[in-house]
Amino acid sequence: MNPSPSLLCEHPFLKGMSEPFIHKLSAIATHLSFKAQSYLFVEGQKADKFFLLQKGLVALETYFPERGILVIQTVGIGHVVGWSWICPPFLWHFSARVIDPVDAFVFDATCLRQMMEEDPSFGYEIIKRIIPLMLERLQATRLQFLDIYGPPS
Amino acid sequence: MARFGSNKFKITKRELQSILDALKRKGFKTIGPTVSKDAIVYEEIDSLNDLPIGIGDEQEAGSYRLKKRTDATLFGFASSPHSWKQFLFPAQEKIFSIHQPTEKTSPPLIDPSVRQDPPLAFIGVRSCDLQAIAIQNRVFLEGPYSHAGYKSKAKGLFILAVNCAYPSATCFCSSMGTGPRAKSGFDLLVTEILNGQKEPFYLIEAGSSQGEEIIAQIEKTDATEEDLKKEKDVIQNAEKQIHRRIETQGIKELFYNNLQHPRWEEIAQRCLSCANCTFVCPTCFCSTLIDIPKKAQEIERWMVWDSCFTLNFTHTPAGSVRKSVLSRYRQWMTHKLASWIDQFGISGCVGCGRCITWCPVGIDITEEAEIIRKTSPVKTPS
Amino acid sequence: MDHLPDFPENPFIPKPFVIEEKKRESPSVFSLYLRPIDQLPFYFLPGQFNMLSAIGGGEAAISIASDPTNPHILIHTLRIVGNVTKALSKLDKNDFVLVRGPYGRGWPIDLVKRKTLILVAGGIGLPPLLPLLYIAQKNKGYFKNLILLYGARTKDDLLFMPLLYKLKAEQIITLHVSVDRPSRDWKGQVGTVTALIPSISFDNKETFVFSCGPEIMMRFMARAFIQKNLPKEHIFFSMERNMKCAIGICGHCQLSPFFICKDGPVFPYEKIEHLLTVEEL
Repeated sequence: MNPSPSLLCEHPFLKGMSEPFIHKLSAIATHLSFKAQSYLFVEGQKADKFFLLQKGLVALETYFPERGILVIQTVGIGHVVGWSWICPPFLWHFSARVIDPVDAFVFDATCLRQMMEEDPSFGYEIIKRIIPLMLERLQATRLQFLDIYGPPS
Repeated sequence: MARFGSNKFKITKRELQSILDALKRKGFKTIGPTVSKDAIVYEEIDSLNDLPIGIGDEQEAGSYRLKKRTDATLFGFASSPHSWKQFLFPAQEKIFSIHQPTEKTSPPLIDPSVRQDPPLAFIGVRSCDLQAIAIQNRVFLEGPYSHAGYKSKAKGLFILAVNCAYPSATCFCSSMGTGPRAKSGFDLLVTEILNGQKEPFYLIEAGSSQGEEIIAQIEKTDATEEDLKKEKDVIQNAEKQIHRRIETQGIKELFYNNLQHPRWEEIAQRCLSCANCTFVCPTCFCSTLIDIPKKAQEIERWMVWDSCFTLNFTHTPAGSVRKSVLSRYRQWMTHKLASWIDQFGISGCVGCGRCITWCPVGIDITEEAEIIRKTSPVKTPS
Repeated sequence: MDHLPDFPENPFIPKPFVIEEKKRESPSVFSLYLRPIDQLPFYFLPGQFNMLSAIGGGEAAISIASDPTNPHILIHTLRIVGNVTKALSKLDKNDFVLVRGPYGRGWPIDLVKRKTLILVAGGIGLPPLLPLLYIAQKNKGYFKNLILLYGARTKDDLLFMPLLYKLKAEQIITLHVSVDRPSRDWKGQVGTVTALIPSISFDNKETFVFSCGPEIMMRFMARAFIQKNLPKEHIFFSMERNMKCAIGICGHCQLSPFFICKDGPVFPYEKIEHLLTVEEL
């Protein structure tokens, strides 16, 4: 069942988006819950969904030979989980495993891309909101790997 | 504080010697200038004959020479590689010793080093150095905590100051407002006045009740109008001999606005980070505390001079904060001329010129300040 | 010379304390529980520090990590980073430690009474904030809300987790913990501690931030809060530099005009903001 427009526009990502655009999104959205330890998506699979986290915590992980599966970063409330749906080859780079039970708006990414192509002003409203999140994620990732906590234990 | 100095007297070298003798009788350790290894240093003196009689100096950036004068002045020179800080704030001073009893459960016993040294009398302090002593008094004594060792030495201090008559080429006290005429901070003030072929004579005034007490005991005559005129000439001639200067208007903002000025790079290429300037500077006060094992079960903690030019002077666990010579030179100069003002309400520089004379590569703080001011992208009022 | 000011004490003389207990918190971090040999209570303000030394080992500035409402036991948590801390780490129960202090300007706790206080701690930056947690524990309602954002390199570097979980369970703090490097047995958040900020909501006028950790963390953390419209004047850092005298006369801890030992270690962010990005200042 599609989430109602009034529910969607409460999400901080969609704040300030015009009613017609919210309606467009509502048509391609589902409101899903994910149990702990389940996967939103798996590395290598087709990236055909846009996940907007409403509640919960997700770990982005990948497989290291000899080290096993390690978490690269965790993503929380308000964030977009996974960007691979935006650009070719549209394949997930990492897996997303649920740590704390998740409620998310899940959009059909293939339809979303098409809608953005057909209506550039709609497309711009989406990109305008994605870019600050990517920037924040990039800054945080840079800091994460700068080893800021001083001399090694 | 009552205003002294209105009564000026005329005395000869003999009376000056009797002042020295009176101070020694009172138990003072008299310290004054004397020649040692081709330099004028400050050491304990017994009589005025220990002074550099008829000796003058020639100073320039990175150069210091003594020269023979054609007269018999006692104070015919400018600053020396020594400053008076080494007596109030010794290069090495024991703070306490701690004894660990062999019985491990007994607590250690701390013995604070309380020395009963004789009070000090400084003979021949120039105006720049008077200001330097006042500055170090502020650093070490004002504030919620004071340096106990410094306090005990400064408390009994007697100062016989001398108006500078022969500033050197590196002096710039006049632009710092610290000389050449001494205005305050002394017990006695003397001006040496040349007297043709005869020995120089001296005009003397008291600057404190202690000074008055000493003057009362010696033979003297009142200074005449002519004497006072000669004194004025000495001081005016001294002022004319000072050519170096620093513009102090807005100097704090000037340096705060130019922490990334390209000139620092230029200076860093010359600076050897040898720390000479911090050792000869009469106001530099940096130190460190070290623990030294003396014998079994006994450790001493000493305070020793340190310098901001050392690599690890300021660091965090991640390493030195000022790895480059540029950053350390910048720290020294901007502290001395700018941030010192925010810390203590006055400049840290007294214009004595020692840092210019004793820099092995001749870096001139007045020249660098002028270049930065002239090329500052932010205009500072002057 | 005439008049000089009169102070009775020699500020360089330490007091011997005996180690009542020593705990290893992580591979390179340990805590000392100290009691003065004269049994007198030790009063301090949260955010202040002491100069500690093993006899003959030299002194280092270590933040006070004890409960201000319990002045009978003095707690210091140290990481072994150099000779002084190494010498202290070799001591054991019943050995003596020389203590001088307390020194410095602490956290402005009067400012945050009945307000929302967000503590941001990175690595070994948690101990200087512990006194605030103890105050919250002993004075329920002192803070309207107390939130702790705590980050470390790995799970093994996290300190005092049992205490933090206990305070969380007792609803004294809201706890968010994150590590930079993942490990198989860490089920919590992975990422830099500043990434925890965008997801917490607060009322700007009534919220303050006290932070202690690597300078770079504190800089980015401040920017993240300012981006969320927190007033600059509401942010306070605890800064760190090597110290020798702790009373502003040895010169080591200077940051431009400030002596970290006596003008800090706690500083309002707006006072030092312009100094933090000048290289090698």
